[in-house]
Amino acid sequence: MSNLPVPDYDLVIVGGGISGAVIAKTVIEQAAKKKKFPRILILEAGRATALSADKYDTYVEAYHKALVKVPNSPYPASRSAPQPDVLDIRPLDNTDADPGGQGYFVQKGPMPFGSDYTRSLGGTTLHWLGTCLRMLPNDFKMRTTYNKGVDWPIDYEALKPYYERAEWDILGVAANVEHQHYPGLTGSPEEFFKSNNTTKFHEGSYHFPMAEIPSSWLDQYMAHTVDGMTISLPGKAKPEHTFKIKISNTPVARNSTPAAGYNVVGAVGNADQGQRCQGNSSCIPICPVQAKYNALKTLYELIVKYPDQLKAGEQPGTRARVTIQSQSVATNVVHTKATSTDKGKVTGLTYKKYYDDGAPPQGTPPTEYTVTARTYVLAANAIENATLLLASKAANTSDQVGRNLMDHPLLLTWGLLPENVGAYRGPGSTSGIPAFRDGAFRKDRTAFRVEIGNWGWNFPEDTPYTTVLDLVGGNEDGKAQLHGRELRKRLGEILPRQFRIAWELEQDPEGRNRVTVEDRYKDALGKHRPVIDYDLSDYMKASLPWAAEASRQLFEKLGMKNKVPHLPCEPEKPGRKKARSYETGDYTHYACDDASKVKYGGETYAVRGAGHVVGTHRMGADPTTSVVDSYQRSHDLPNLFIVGCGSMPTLGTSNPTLTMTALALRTGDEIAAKELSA
Amino acid sequence: MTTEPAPIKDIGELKAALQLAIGLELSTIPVYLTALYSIKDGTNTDAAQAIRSVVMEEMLHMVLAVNVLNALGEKPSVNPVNFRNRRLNPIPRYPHTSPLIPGIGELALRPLTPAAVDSFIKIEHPYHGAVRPDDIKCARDAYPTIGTFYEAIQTALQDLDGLHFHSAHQVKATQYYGGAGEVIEVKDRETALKAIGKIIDEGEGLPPNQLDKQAKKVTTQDKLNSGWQMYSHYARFRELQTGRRYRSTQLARETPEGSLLLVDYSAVHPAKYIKLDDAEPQDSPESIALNEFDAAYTQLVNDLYLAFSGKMKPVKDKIAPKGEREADPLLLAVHGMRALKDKAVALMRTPNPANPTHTLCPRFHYASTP
Repeated sequence: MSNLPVPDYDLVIVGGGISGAVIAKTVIEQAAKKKKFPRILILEAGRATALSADKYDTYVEAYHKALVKVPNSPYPASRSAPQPDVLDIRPLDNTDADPGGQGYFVQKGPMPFGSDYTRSLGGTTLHWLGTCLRMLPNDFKMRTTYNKGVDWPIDYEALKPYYERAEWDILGVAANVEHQHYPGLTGSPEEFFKSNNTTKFHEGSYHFPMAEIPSSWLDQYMAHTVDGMTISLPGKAKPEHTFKIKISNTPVARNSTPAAGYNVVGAVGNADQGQRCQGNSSCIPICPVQAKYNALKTLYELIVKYPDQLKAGEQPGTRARVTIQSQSVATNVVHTKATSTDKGKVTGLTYKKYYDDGAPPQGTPPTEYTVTARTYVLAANAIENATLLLASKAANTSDQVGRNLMDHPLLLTWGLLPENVGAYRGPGSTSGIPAFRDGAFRKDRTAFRVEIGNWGWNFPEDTPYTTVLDLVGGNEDGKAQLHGRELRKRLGEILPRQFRIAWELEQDPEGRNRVTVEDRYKDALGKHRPVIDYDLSDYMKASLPWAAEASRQLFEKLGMKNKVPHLPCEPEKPGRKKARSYETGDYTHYACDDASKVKYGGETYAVRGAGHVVGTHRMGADPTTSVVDSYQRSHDLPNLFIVGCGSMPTLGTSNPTLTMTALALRTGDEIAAKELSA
Repeated sequence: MTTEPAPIKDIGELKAALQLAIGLELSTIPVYLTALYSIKDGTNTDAAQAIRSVVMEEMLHMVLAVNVLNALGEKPSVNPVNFRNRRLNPIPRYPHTSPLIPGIGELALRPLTPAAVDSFIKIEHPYHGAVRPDDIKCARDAYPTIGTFYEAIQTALQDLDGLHFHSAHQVKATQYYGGAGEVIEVKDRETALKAIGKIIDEGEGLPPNQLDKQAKKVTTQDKLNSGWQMYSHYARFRELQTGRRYRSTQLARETPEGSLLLVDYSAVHPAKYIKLDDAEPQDSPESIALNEFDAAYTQLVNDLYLAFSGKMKPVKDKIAPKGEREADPLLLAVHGMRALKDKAVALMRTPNPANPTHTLCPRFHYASTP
């Protein structure tokens, strides 16, 4: 075999987001223990704008200037590496319309896929909320326990050490174990978190690297008012299901007071900044001080510690090296087909470089390159991974690539509380109600998690901006209704009472929910755009009336029984004559033209995407029904790892980034152990 | 010719000196903050980072002095102290010339201007700009430089008999962040000396021989953590003053000759400090805003000193029994610091009605009754 050409790199990683960064870091650190020093290339489709403190500030500035502050507002899209945007979501009831006519996704419906992601170095961690809930034991064995979905090839106990490393070594999670009240556990929270690492944690008594972010005043008010109440929901097999409510502080990758021995990681290139959450209240779309984890932190550590450039006198192979190459869009996974005796393997990766938003220098076309490596990692986001594999016709013997696309469709309910609860202060959410995350009811309907929002009606109604508009009004004669001191006073009476809850429903895996590619849908660089078929199952929809009923009972307890009428199907006209009265009560309603309406049991609901893009290359033990094994290694092409949320066979009710990070650590260990031996 | 400053003779004098050291560290903070907060958003990133890093370390030094004093069984206090034959106020009124350390010169509140940077260098230079310490006119019961003041404290901690240390009301290391160095909890003579040594190494007490050493040394670890280790305040401000970085081979006393560090003095709010006594009629909206700032600063200082004395503070809480709960004043003070920034920036964006080319400037006036 000595006549084989030497590959350019030991490892090529597609995607400069959290999974890619974690795998690079883990491989380097684990390999160093065996005196091996890999050379790694990370290809990033988007720009690398933010790898210095002042450049990151340009994102903050873009956020300040954006008129509509959606998750991707601070991160400019490029024609060469376009990205989905929630502002592109349209109703899909007009069957004549071109499904690829609006935005990056080609939405074939019947429901539009409601989430986005970011194609910039750092990936979607640039705009995530930072929630770091572990999955519950039953989430890993849905088939065995509830005869729904599929089982994972690993269980909670197997993933536990990786959760711990993700929480300590990568994300920096702030939480108190004793405040995690999850359902379906046989023991206490202490038992759920009990560690096998008795060297680090005395007698296995686990603690997080940082103390919890203090619960908001709203959380405390909620706990004071509703803790201990019972919510009763109607069941099929059982006449009634009861849930005891307990407000639970949510673990988050957000800096707070460290435990002894933990080093808080501040902003990239400006470590003095961001060592504690300041409550800037803009986690989504951007933490201006980087107190919230983003993958730039890990990437920055890599390029500072392991620069590719050798110093004078340094010999290659004596230390690890990392290159990050941005504006480089992977277009083809070059591979050999399996033969009767051998599996196939990846032999190269083709990518296109672009300059200045698609315009190459001196009018030359974007240049195409092929790079080779011993091992390849696709870490480009679930939808991007699937698109690339399908376009390359790679790793898809199972026909599962692109299928089982999932999200946490969420139902929003909102109201005006009788008193000031300090809305719009602190991080987006500091607590939740975990009671509905597990239980026997999962045989009939999906589980859900309740996220308590700290930012008033921002999510459902784009407040506080629209509240200001509503009060200012502007009659047909052009006269404002309220202004100056009076306006401020009125806003002070209304905004701090705004309250909303997100009921995040677990979506189950379905083969029909899928990403495909079609040659007629390509972007400016000629790369395939994702074509998406998406719907909700009846199993999932059965939880909508439950969430709505639970909301009703909760709102009643909070003094918001009064259902404030909203004119059915009244278009939101500018210059409406009279402002709303803002009486206490439940303001939940759905606009007639809402793109994501769901009809179920005679009721209409509207759901939103949670930005959790999951399930397009699921892991499993059986190569005929899954794309990767439990290490995220392709069943078909053993020198290819396909990583990220796409590998998750089911979603559970936790935000997926923590689990994705744990899986990436495990993959990094595997690559260091088995792939660098040559 | 100045005579050698008298050594600290007993425990009483040492405690008084430490009270004044706490005040000394606090007194430099408004000087730097005024310049820092005058920088317009999104501009002068390098200058802002440098000034902010120094502020952070002054905060650390203040806390280190607090920990030493508390370990000696004395509570930090805002009240005037008797030091030798004088009664001195630990917390100054600006503009301020320290009677204890005349070498520093006048501490004035200015936005970021070349003159402000010159004054920062004067504060941080080993001899406060003088060629020799002997050039500084100084009474025998005072100290010509910050360096000599801390040396006297160091010697006293080392040599005085009958000092009893115990770990009381220590501010913990986990409560300090966003700056180089760490809080040392003081429990004995050794840790007390370590704490004072840290102030001397890092800060305004820059030992004169440091000028003949490498100006800065930044390691990989520094780049990832706080990048300011082994990089004195003096050197950081010299870079701003000259508009150039030091080369890694240069000594601190040399003129920086490395890469450009551009400071845009026009991207600064043109704030102008007006002495409290010269202020406008007290009922104008501008005066009210200035007074509110002073009240917020006073509250912040009071919360800090309350925390340093190991006390909790009752705060209103609608859902607590009896509508009140105990809060850690240190955390309240941290919130106060964040809020103070917004208030300072708001003032510096408000035109001064008497002088429309200028904007208002926070006064950082500590009034013991808020």
